[in-house]
Amino acid sequence: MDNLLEVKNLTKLFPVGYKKNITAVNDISFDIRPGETFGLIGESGSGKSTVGRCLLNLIKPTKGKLVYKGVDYSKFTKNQKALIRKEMQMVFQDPNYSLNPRVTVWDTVQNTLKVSREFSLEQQEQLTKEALDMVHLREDNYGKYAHQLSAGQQQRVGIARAIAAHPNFVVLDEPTSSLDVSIRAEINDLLRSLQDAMGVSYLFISHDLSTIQYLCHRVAVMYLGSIMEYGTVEQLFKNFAHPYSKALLASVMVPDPDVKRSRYRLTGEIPSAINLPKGCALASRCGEAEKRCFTENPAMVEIEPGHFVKCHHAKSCHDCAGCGADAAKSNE
Amino acid sequence: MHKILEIEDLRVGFHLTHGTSHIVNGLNISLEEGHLIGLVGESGSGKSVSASAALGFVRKPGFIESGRVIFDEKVDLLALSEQELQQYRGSAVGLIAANARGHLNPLMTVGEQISNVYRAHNKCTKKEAWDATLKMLEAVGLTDIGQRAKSYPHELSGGMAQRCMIAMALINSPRVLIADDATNGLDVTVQAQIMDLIITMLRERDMSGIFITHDLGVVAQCCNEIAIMYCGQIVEFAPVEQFYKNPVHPYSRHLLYSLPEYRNAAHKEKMWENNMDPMNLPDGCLFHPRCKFACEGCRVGDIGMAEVEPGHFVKCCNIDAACKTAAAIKGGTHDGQSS
Repeated sequence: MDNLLEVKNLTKLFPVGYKKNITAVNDISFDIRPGETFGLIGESGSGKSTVGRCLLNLIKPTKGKLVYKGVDYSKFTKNQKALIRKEMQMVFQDPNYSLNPRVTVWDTVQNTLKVSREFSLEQQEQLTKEALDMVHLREDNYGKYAHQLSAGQQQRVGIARAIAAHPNFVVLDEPTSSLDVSIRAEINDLLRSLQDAMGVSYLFISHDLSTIQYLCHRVAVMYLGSIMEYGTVEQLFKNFAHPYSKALLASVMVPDPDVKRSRYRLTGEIPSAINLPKGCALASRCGEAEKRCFTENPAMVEIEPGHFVKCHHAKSCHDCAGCGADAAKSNE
Repeated sequence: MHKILEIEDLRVGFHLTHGTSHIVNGLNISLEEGHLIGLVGESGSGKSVSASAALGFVRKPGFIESGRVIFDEKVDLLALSEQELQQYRGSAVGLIAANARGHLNPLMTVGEQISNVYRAHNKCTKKEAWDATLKMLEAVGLTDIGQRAKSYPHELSGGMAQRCMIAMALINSPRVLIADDATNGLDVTVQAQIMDLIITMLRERDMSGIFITHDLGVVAQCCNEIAIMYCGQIVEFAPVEQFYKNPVHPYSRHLLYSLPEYRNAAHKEKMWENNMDPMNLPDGCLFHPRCKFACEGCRVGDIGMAEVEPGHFVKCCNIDAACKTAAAIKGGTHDGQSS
């Protein structure tokens, strides 16, 4: 299958102070296929949003290659750069702050179409109407300003703005985390139905595991700028292999009193990204860390087709059919 | 059972320029000793206001219209003067506020703030208060305590600041703890640590608690009873096991079935627009403008709590229709029009 987007060894450093850098994203690689939802999970400060902004060409990566439909980002001509603005869009976390308070709903959506200078006025109006219909906003809301709308409606305007020009790829940066549960469900269902109707790819950034499980096809777990584990939703949620993903899953409060949480916990808090630990990023918090975890950075291991884990213990932790021999040897 | 905290018919309003906004409208809740109640509702349903009203923290333009908050079956906290109330705040009822960093004084070290709370309720020297503070900080799981006690709130991470708030709430060993969205804004891994900490502290000290949250997962894992709040009223009150198996009130079902875990094809009904307006409250059931089971009886009069199972109370006058649909949804044959 042709990939829509390829990310190879992406690294992003931000300078702080004198000769110091924050490593926001540390050597990650993945790809996004047409029409799929790729989920990024991680704690705050793990570099999820930075990845999203690099993919949209909003900030330039320090190292690494980004390829969109076979074209390298660094080789984009001016015209191509303008073109990907139309084909890639973003939905932000806080719907209230991401809308201009002095622009009406209709103009908010239409302005995104004006920028590309490709649509005639009739086309702009038609596409705007279409986008607002798709997110189920009634006509009496078109002339309203952001503060006159409820939070759910505001976020729907944000989504309409993103999909108006029929993009191929949308970055959703925690679009539901500031909303109430019932509105959250509404937005999730809307995103799903839009994908079915338009075939758009999503990069879904979130820290909510149940939403990720509900929406995504493939998932990557990020920690301190690195991808710790990635695979399809079925593979991951059947059997999380990385200690960090396990701890993440064990932390989730399941809304069912019959399900008892496992007591698997990480100790301490996420270390500073200024001086990255030498070995595995998780070593200082991991219960299974041994000597080499502190000195050697583990490589990505494929434990079953399409399921990658970055851990020295990956195989012994995972008792899949593909590595039955290792599972038998495992000391757990 | 001994009722440690009882809120009776609490009503809180706010005088605004365009009229009076009624946030809490007849809240009834009773907390038994040793129990944990989860108070759940959407934003704007009056959860936090009722918690601060219970401790007399309502300031202008807010006012308490009526109601009693009875502590330990003896004292009505709302009838006390400000000075008398001070004795109960912190030492009888502790409060953990949401957004810990916003509630800590940025100009004082956390150790000073916690020891001030201790000295307000205990006659002791500064040295003794400081020692008690260090002991408490150790109990809430902070490391490198001497250093931490001398740091300012901005030097702490969100999780550490929240631990300091817990230390502050518990240092005078209150009998009741009110945790107002204590894990809001924290990462899931930190949230799990903090919840574990609060639960073990409560168990160790034999305390009761009210958890205010909008996370139905937290309630399912930590609490004994759940109270669903809508528009300043409890619409459903039930033991946790019963509620998650059989939610009865249309609003509670709407909330629970919004969660991805419960959201399968059978539950996918049209979402109801939120048109709750505390300035103009409707007559009868406060939920009826949003409810599709609403009948004539819902539009007038006062609706009482009905007991559908032992210990499971629902404020709805059309329970039969609602229950029938609940059963139909469970069977997967939901037609959505059975009222």
